[in-house]
This record gives sequence, C-alpha cells and structure tokens, in this order.
Amino acid sequence: MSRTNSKLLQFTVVFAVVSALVYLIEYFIPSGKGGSLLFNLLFWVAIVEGAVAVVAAAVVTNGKWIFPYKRDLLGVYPLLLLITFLFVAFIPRIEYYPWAHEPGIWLNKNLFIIRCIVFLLAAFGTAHLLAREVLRDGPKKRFYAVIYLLVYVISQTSVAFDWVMSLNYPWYSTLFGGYFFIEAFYTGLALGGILTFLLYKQYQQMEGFPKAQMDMATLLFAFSVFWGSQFYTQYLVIWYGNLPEEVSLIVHRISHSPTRELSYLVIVLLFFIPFVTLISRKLKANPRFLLIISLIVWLGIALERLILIGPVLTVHPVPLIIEFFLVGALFIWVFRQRDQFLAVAGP
Amino acid sequence: MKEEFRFEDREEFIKKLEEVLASGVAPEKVNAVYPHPDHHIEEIFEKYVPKSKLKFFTLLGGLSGTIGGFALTILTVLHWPMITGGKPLISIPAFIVIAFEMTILFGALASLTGFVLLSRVPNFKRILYPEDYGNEFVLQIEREDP
Amino acid sequence: MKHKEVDTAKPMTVREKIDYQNEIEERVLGAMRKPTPLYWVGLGISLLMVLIGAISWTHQIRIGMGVAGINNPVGWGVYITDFVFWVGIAHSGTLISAILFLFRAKFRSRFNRSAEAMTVFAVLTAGLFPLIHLGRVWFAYWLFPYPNQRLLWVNFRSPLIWDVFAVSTYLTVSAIFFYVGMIPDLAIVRRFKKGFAKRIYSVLSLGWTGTFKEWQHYNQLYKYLAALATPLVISVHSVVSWDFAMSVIPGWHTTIFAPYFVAGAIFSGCAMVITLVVPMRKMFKLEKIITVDDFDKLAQILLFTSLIVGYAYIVEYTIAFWSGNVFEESQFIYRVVGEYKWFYYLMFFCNVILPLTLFSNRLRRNISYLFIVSIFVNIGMWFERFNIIVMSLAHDFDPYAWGFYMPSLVEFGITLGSFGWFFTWFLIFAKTLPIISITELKEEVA
Repeated sequence: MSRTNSKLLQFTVVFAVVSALVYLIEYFIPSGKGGSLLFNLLFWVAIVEGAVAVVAAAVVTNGKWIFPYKRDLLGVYPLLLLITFLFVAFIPRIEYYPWAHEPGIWLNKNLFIIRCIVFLLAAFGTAHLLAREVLRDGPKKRFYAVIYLLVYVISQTSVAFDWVMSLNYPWYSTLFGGYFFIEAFYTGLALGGILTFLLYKQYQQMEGFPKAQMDMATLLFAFSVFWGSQFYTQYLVIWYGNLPEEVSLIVHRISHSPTRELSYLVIVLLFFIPFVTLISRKLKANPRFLLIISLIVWLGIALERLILIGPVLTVHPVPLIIEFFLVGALFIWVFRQRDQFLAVAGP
Repeated sequence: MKEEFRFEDREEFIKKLEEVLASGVAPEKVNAVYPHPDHHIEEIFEKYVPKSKLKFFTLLGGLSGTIGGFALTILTVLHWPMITGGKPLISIPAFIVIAFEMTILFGALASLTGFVLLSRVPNFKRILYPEDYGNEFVLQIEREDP
Repeated sequence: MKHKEVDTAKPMTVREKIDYQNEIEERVLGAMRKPTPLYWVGLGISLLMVLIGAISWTHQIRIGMGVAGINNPVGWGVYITDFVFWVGIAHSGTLISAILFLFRAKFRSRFNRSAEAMTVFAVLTAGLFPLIHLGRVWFAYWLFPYPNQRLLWVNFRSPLIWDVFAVSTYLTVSAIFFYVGMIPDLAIVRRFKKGFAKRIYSVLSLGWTGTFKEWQHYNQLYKYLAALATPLVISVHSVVSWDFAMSVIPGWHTTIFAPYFVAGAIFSGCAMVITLVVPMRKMFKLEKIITVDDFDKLAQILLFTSLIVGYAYIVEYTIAFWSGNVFEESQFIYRVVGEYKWFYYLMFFCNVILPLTLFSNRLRRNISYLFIVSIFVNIGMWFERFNIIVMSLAHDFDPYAWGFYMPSLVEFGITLGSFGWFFTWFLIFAKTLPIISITELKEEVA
C-alpha cells in the first residue's frame, strides 16, 4: 500500500469520527431547525472544490503562474471526503426542505441523497487523480484537469440547485449554478492569496514567483469584477421581471434587519473592496494585503451563504461555531500533512 | 549637432543605450527608434524619464463617464417625471447599464486623447516627410555645439 | 520564396532574426499585392448580395413593413435574429485582441487583426438591423438622447435604449482599438509604397516613426484599451440578452441569459474567425505564420464555449421543469415537438454535439475539418437566435394568441445582403490593410 493511500485511509477514519462528533453536536444541542451543518457544508465545499479547480483551470490553459501554488492548493483535496461524510450527517435535516413531504421526480429524498454523494465522491476521485498526475507532471494531466472541471461544474451546480435553491422553493434562477461555481473558484483563488502570505518565504525561492503572485492577485481582481457582473446580472433580471416567485427571495431578505444590512455588506465585501483596492499594483504585490483581501472574500462568501439559508433553516450560533472550528481544525491538520500524501515517486 | 548610431543587433543597441544614458547625457536629448514594442528598452528609459501619464486620462475619462451617465439618466427622468413599466423614477439598477457604457466610452476616448497629446502623434512633419528605419535600432543624441 | 521552418521559441542569431522579420513583412504585405481573378469574383458575388439586400430594403421602405413576415404574435423575426447573430460574431474579435492580450496568450497575434476587422464590420452590419426593423428608418436618431424643443428624453429604463448605448459604444471602442493597433503596421506599409499610395499610408500612419516617446505612450494606450474593451465585450452581449430577459415571456425571462449569450457570442465569433482565416491563410500562403498549433488553440476556445452553451441549454430545460411553472414547461416542450422542432435539433447538433468531436486532438488539428465545423457552428448559432426569438413569441401564455411565423422573401433578401455587406468590407480590408500584426510578430522573436 502506497504512502498516499495509507494516509488517505487514516484521514477517512478521522473524518468519520469527526463527522460522528458533528452529528452529535448538530442533533443533541437544542438548536431549532439547525442550518449550521448546511452552512458549514456550503462554505467548505466552495473552498476545497474551488482550490482544486483553480489548479485544474491553470493546467488546462497552461498558466505558468500556478507553479508555486499548485502543490499547496492541491493539498486540500482529501477534505472532499470529509464533506461527503458531513453530508451523510446532514441527511436527517432533509426533512426541513419544503419539498420533502411531497416529493417529485427530481426532488425526492433518495435521489437527492444518492446524487449528492455521487457528485462529491466523483469530485474527490477526479481531484485525487488530478493531484497525482499534476505533481508528477504526467502526460495525462490536462486530460484529468478537464475531467475534474466537468465534475466540478456539475457538483457545484448540484450544490446550488439542490442544497440552496430547493431550500427556497418555489424560487428559481437558472444562473444560480453558474453563480455558485464562479463563487467557488473565487474562494479557491482567495486561498491562494492566503497561502501567499503564509508561505511567502518558501515561495520567494521558487521560479518566477513575484510574477506568479501578481497574476494570482490580478485573477482575484478579475474575479471580483466577474462576481459583481454575475450578481448584477441575476439581480437585474429578477428586479426587472418583478415576478412574485422570483422576487420573494430578495424581498424576504432585504425587508428587515439584520439580513438587509448583511446583504449590502456582502456586495461590499465581495465586489467593492477587492475591486477598488486590487487595481493598485503596489497592493497586489503586498502579501499581507493579499491575506486581508482573501479573508474578506471568505467572509463575504460565508455571510452570503448564511443569508441564503438563514431565513429558512434558522442558524443557531453555538453549533455553528463549534462545527466551523472543528472543520477548520481538520482543514489545517490535513493541509499541514500535504507533503505526506502528495509525495510522489519519480522526478 | 546630431549624433546617430544604427544597430541591427538589439543587444548591442541596448548596451549602447544604457551606456549613453548612464554617461549623464540629458535623457530628453536622447532619442531611440525601434521597430517593435520593447518593454526592456522602456524599462531602461524609465529609470531616467517619468512613466507615461496616460493612466490619468483614462481614469478621468472613466470617472466623468460614470458621473455623466448617472447625471444624464437621473436628471432627464426628473425633468419629465413619467413612470413607465411600474418602475421607480430613479431606477438605479437600470441606469447602471447606461453609466457603465458611458464609463467605457469616455475612458477609451480620453485615453486616445491622452495618447495624441502625450506622444505628439499625429506628427504633421513626419506625415509629409516620413522617416523609416526598417528593422534597425537607432540611437540619436543631440549634443550641444561646443 | 523559399520555405524554411522557423522555430520562434528557440533563440535566434541576429542574422536569423532580421531574415525572419523581413520575411514576415514580405509575406504579410505580399497579401496586399494586385488581386487575383478569384478575389474579383469573390468581391463581385459579395457586391451582388449587397445589391439584393439593398433592393429588398428599398422595397420594404416603399411598400411598408407588411412585406416582412413579422406580425402578431411574432413581432421580432429574422431581423432581430440577424442583429443578435452579427453582434455575436463581433465578440470574438474583442476576445482575441483584448482578453487574450491581457492573458498574454501568444497565438493571439496571428488572428487579432482579422478578428478586430471582423468585429468592426460585424458591428457595422448588426447596427443596420434595428434600423431595418424600425420601418421608418429616417427617424432612427430618435433613439439617441438629444435636446429637443418638446423636452422629451428617451426612456433609460428600456433595455432597447441600453442596446443603443452598448452597440454604439462597442462600435466606437472597437474601431479605435482596431485602428490604434494598426498604426505601427501602417508605417511599415508606407515604407513599401510609392507615389500617391505612400501619401495615403503616411496620413493613415499619422507620421509614426517608432521613437521611444511614441512607443511608451502607445503601449500604455493599448493596455488600457484592452482593459476597457474586456468588460465592454461582456456587457454588450449581456445587454443584447436583456432585450429578451427583461420581459416576462417564457423562454426569454431567465437569469442565465447574459452569460449564456456572451459565451454563445464568443463561440460563434471564433467559428467565424476560423471560417475567414482558413481560406485567407491558404490564399495568401501564410501557412508558416499561422500554424496548426494556433488553430488548435482557437479550436480549444471553440470547444470551451460550446460546453458553456451546452450547459446553458441543459440548465434552461432542467429548471423549466424543476420550477413547476406551466408556461415555462409548455414553452420547452414546444421547442422539441412544435413546428420548429427541426430547427431546434439542428441547433443542438451544430452547437453541442458536433463541437464535442473537438475533444480529439487529431480532429482539432485538422484544418479542413475545423473549417467544416466552423461553418456548422455559424449555422447553428444563427438558428439558436432564431429559436429563442421566434419560438418564445409564437408560443407564449395564451393558447388563443399562439401563432406561426416564416420569414418572407424580403427578409431572406436582406439577410443575404447583410452577408454580402460583411464580406465586401472584409475583402476590401484584406487587400488594403496588413492582415496580420507585423510588429507583434517581430516582438516575439526579439
């Protein structure tokens, strides 16, 4: 058994234990219709799938800027397994979905569970193959990158439509899937921004580094614009059409505090702040600033997801925080061991 | 008096250019002509001369476009307040489109104006009497007559 | 002229560089030499098509809009389809010249000039259609906000006015971008011309010499124009899509429309670039400059955008049934079983199924195959717009208001004329201006 596989087995065991722990916290701390687990699923799935997608996209387009980052960004992929386990722990909560008691062909409990698990495992499997192939610079790396990206798009679309959109049934928006995979990519890039600060010393010695950082920051800037345009596009069509089933989602959230203020804050965090500051070359070159901006982006995504699920599945702060830090600790734990499971034989 | 050096080799030209600029000749007296955009030559020059100020034109143009776009839409709609399509009079989401397009339009036009003013193109003397150096790298130095 | 493979990736000696640069000049400017009979035949056919279009339009103006097939309930037909189609074609020009410039993709320098020219001409073509569709074309200036004695202003909340702003901005900016990118090349053309022609190119090149001062500001200008054009190109087709999405017609009112239209536009535009550049490369013997590798990259963009378009088709369907909205459901069932179903299948085949073959490396690098695919994509994308526009209008909420539309001969004539008009411009461009950016190719070997 190779070192990677034994490490992954170890992770599986730990993930299973932690997921059981999360299950206990979620269901035995009285917290009403808990949305805390769903929030954590939504937040971490974006970061983990997004980070791998950033590498895959750079491999497909032959982007040289990924060189310093690729190893570390790929180092988060085993967490997709954790997310799968956490999803299993989430299964009893499906009861709270509005369609749960009158299931349809697509939205029924069994199909929902099966497809979500299949998509998550497919993302994990393709990310695993991609990581191995990219790090040994194999001939099939572009092939796996394309496959991963296809799975990524499907998986994030499923996250958007199944996990979030169906929660707000009968609200619907065709852009929502695209909006989610752009957001996930954005958070993945933000992870790159955080790593720039944390591993600055190490990166500095790598080939073409200052330029790679610049490109990474420029992409972060580009994605702030891209996010802004997608948000606006979605909002504008809903605002203009003014159809009851469509505007309900927005009206529900901006008609009272605090979701109203938080909704505006999300736009500021995800669009205005990165857009205005990252124009400057000086700030793009500053790793400390990149850290701050990246954390702002993560905060924006977290808030947005909270607002999307909050009014339907009430979120109780105690389990939310405990679960968040549990998953976060595992995130750091796995990331710190990346040299062990990413190690590959050969040059 | 005008001194002129012509090179076929870019490396030799760059060496000479660095030498001349380092020797303390006023940079505005040194003129280089080269056949294609070259960032390295620009970097050498920009150690001695200020960077292009074109970005201020773009910025000003863009900002005036944004402000102009919102002003045009909001002021005209207030001038003849008529509700259409059940939308509020001042419909910011709709006006963003106009303001955005005008930002880009004015930004591009202002950049072009900036280019014309800064680089002295069109150069009427050269339109009448064009100067062509082909693929050569040319260094011209104006020296004060002794 | 001798054929010698030059590998631009390897470092060259000074002599080799100069030879290579001279050869580029000669090859690109060689395309501007006296036209062959084939060229005149092509130009003649294009002009004939323009004539047919002009006659059709004159007929429509004389008799009235009744000669076109559009009527209730399908008030938007082939004219709007053509408009969206041509605006879409325009998009890849800006993609290739601006976005790929910002991404520093090397293969862009092979295609950018023809793609930019295509952009300008396609917007010129597209701009005609709203005017044709208006009927009383002499009142077209009413679309612009201008001070008038009745103190009337246009309705800025109308997506059609957004379109006026978007398309006119796009025409202006892409024309500036096209011209600015060409200035140093025009100075090279000037060097090779004599007599009166030299005079003309001297004026066109604005007395460009290539001094440091010129290059310094020029490079900045080019960068900023690229940075401005990139969001612009995305906004223009978004605005075009909002002409539809702002309504509440089933099949039109959907949030994915903007990114879906942008991807579709780039998709069709890349196909048109391939359609134009493949014969051009052959005719002017540019095989050495525009290599198979370059086409391979372009084909990858084609494939990528095709996947996005395919994704959008599927999502539109899924959500129509997912939402439980009877009107949406009915519209999407109508698309596959209604009167226009064959158009729908054609569109799906050309835009989604056929491009999937480009996953194969062999096929992607086969220029003739690529050419054929690009033509199918052009057809498919035209039908996509037709399907979206006509099917949604023919089959909206009330079954008593459903209808059927077929374009009349006049509409066919004008559509044919628009192709002629576009190709006429492009053919004139190919003989009067440098079709590949010479200075950028030189920069690569430096």
